[in-house]
Amino acid sequence: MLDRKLARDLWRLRAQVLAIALLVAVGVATFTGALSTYRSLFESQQRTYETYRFAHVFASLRRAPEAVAGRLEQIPGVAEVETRVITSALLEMEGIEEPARGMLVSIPDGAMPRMNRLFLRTGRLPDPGRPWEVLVHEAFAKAHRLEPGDAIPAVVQGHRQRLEIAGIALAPDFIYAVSPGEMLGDDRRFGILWMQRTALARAADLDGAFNDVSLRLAAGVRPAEVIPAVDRVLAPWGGPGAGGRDRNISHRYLSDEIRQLKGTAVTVPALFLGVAAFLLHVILSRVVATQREQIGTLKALGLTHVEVGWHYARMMGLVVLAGLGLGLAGGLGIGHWWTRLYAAFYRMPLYVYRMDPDLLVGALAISLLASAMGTRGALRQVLRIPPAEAMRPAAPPIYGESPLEALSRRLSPMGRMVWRNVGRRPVRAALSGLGIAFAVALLIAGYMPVDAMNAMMDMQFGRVYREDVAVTFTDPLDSEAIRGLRDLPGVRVVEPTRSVPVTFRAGHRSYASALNGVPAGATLRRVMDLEGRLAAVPGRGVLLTQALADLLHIRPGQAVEVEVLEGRRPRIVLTVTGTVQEPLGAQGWMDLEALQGLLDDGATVSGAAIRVDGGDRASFFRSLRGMPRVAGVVVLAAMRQNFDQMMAQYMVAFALMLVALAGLMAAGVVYNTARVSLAERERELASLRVLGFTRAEVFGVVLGEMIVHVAIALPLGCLLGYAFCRWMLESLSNDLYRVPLVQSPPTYALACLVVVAMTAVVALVVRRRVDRLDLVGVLKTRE
Amino acid sequence: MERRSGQGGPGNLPVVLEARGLSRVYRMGEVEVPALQGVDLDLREGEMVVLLGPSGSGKSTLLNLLGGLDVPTAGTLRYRGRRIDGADEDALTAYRRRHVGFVFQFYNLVPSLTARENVVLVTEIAESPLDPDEALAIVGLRDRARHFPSQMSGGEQQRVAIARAIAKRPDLLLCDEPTGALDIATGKVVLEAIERVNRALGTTTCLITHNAVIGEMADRVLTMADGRIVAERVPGQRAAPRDLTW
Ligand SMILES: Nc1ncnc2c1ncn2[C@@H]1O[C@H](COP(=O)(O)OP(=O)(O)O)[C@@H](O)[C@H]1O
Ligand SMILES: [Mg+2]
Repeated sequence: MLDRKLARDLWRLRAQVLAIALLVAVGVATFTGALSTYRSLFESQQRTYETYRFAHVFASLRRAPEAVAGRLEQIPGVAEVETRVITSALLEMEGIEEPARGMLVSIPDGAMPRMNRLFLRTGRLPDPGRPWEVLVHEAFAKAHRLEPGDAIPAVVQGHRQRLEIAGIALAPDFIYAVSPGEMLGDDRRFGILWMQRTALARAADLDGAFNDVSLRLAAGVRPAEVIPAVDRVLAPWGGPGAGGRDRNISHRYLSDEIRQLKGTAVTVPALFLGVAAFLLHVILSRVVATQREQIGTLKALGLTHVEVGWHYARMMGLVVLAGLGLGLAGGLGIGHWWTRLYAAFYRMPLYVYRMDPDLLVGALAISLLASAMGTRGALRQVLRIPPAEAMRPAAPPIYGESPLEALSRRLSPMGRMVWRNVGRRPVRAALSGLGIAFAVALLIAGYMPVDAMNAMMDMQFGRVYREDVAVTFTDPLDSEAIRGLRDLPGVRVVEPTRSVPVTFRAGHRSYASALNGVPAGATLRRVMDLEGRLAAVPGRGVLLTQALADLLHIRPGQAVEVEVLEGRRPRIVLTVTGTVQEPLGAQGWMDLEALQGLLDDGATVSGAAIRVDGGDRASFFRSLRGMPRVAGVVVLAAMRQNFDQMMAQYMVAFALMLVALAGLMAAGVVYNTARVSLAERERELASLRVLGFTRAEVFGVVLGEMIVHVAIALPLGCLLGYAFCRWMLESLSNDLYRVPLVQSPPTYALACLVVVAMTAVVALVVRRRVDRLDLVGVLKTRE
Repeated sequence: MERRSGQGGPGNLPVVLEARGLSRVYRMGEVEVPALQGVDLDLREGEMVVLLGPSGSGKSTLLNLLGGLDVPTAGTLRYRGRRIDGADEDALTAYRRRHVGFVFQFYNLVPSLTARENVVLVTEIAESPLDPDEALAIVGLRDRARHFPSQMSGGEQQRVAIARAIAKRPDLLLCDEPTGALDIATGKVVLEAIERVNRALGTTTCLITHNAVIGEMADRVLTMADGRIVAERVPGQRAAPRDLTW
């Protein structure tokens, strides 16, 4: 018989059951979706590396004879060695004013490389009989709609050349194609091209030599075990020394992103699940409270506490299972979608999607626990009451003692009803408000990463990098090169830049990064902290970004050892004069002249920041193309635009998903709150209708209470949202990013607006229920 | 005020409510329950009518139709000549608002409002209401005006319900077993309040009870069975509620 009651109860409460199930579903979907995405991407990365034989150790050098490779092979632990020639080229692409930067990477003539193997998307390998045939990285090919058979006009080592496309490819060492020294990938302006070894070596003047080498290690050998030996072999040939996979930019970015995703995959679902558990608790206690009389009857009929408890536990169990099922379906969908999105974004040659059983078990455990806590509290209260008392309605509340009472005197009786209903159970009103506030907070927190990124980019592009064009040279040049740039048409300001690859060391900690020189009185590139304050670059000593100082556990006043990884490779000890909370990068800053003095290799510069007159841009770029030492040209406005597009495509999609889920949650809470208060107020509302109040007037009483809840929720939600954002910051920051705590008023306003809109929708649904109130039926029954 | 009913013929006073062939069938899935089967009834101005009958005979159904809480499945219902059967929800609401006062077995007061505020609730939306304090005075509860329902006894709450029902000066006062939940002494106080309203304001009153004795205070007693009016009786003299015994 109880089974039938169970079924009928569920059916009668179906809207609320659905809302509760929805809450569980949202929590479970974010939890399983985000975590499975993280795991799938990690797995996809590993699989890609195995399948395409990603190298373990990388080294680049100036030039070494091919025979050196043989000596590397003899190092114990090294399984395979493959040498390459890598050089840069300027590519003339339609649709962009500045030349795009190409990285030409050699592959064996007419064959696949043995490691860092390519995945041929379309076309074929270059023909040994055709030296200028190339394979193009898919990202660049897609950005320019290139196909096999097309040709790319290029400048290779100062010589014009047409590169013919034989195929489109992907590779494990260039999964994420980002130009060295830049923080973001730009598929239109940077591309990887694979060319046959003989032809490329000839073009780069490296016949019979190589300038890049990759190693695969024997099973169980760690890179650190062989790197010193590799460095010893390569030492005479220049270059920053060998490194593990961390040296590979693509790997570093990808791993950082996946690690960051892991942070988000834990914090965001934790927020959602936490909020869902809280809401479940609030809603379930009310649902059980409205069942008070029925519970009394069941007990009067002789059922034990355990039996009654079991009945409700089963009821909630069914609801939670429904939510779980819904959530898992959602989680699978979301996870699959996100994994595909990320895999496409990073150009992974292959990706796998997996939903591990432990995630399912975790989701089940968490949602059951949350609902059990919610049901238990309420049930305990009801079960404590003797049957006779339970069958009577809950003791009528005493009015008139609330401190809010004085305020109510000015209201109409209807307004007073609303006011006193809130005032008599302030805790409940606060809980309802809090529930809705959580939804507001989730909306704010869900959109926070987008705001933070935008703010960071605004600062980077508007205030830190103030040049129009940044140029990097193939090798460090003397300051003569700067004068050459100053003479180009349209150039108004040129400031030299110098970035040196170094390893920072403090105690047993070290970090490979860059030491940058800033010219005294620089106006274009400046060092700035998260709050947008300019940081003074010391005349002596070094300024570290906070991220780097944290990595090295070092404080201002202490010394840091700097091992320069190029030129004469000096080791210098510098005093840390300060730290700066820079949004991007773990790096060091010092005065350009001081840096040049330390390097003691002439007044060298590695690039320049340039302001260009708008009218002369075309001729400026044309002249730039004639300069053989220019390796790359970055137009900052284009970079910004590219970034915004990327954001719109990926981050916003992610954020909107969360926002949609939080919106659903808001609707669920508002609806349940309204439904429960409607159930409690049914008789009162029916009486009003009998007295001749119109449907609209009666609805006003319910709406009034909803408005009070939302009014409590909005400011509270904004505060909570702020707290959530602070918490999420931790998970978003990593070695490369320091995310500022950005508070964007439009986001707060939007979050409030979404909740108000949800409330309006719910109000319409509630309105229908009020309109359909069965007057006779309600009043016929005992109070 | 002089006695108007009882001795005068039925045609003497204007008819307030006129029901003809009034029927109400409840549909519960496949089953049809004919709760009311062709009731003809005239309620005249100032009359006190008592409806008697066993449980399930259709008394509440009839009262709800008369008061515009429900609509008949067949038959006509006229309020001062105007059709109200088949009226839409808004028209019925307006009808209740202007002309009808209800009192139920369960008092249905708004728990968050004081006695006086429960009355004011109605006077605020009525066209020419009584003064709220006067309404409370009629039921003898002037001094309890500031009490909340939870601070009052059942009888007192029912009298507040009556005060609330009459505060709008309704043309019709419809009471469905107003004493059903009360003990005898309290029940009498409540009936006295209804009697006083009927006399002082001349409100046409229809009162449901299954207690035949209460019929003695009426101008007319109608008895229902199986959804029909099966008997009509006109007691010679209206008895005062306090003289009734049961
Ligand atoms: N909402 C309803 N649905 C179905 N049947 C109803 C409903 N209300 C009343 N009835 C039936 O109509 C008949 C008359 O009921 P009612 O008017 O309440 O009788 P009384 O008030 O005389 O006790 C009864 O048989 C009852 O079961
Ligand atoms: Mg009845």
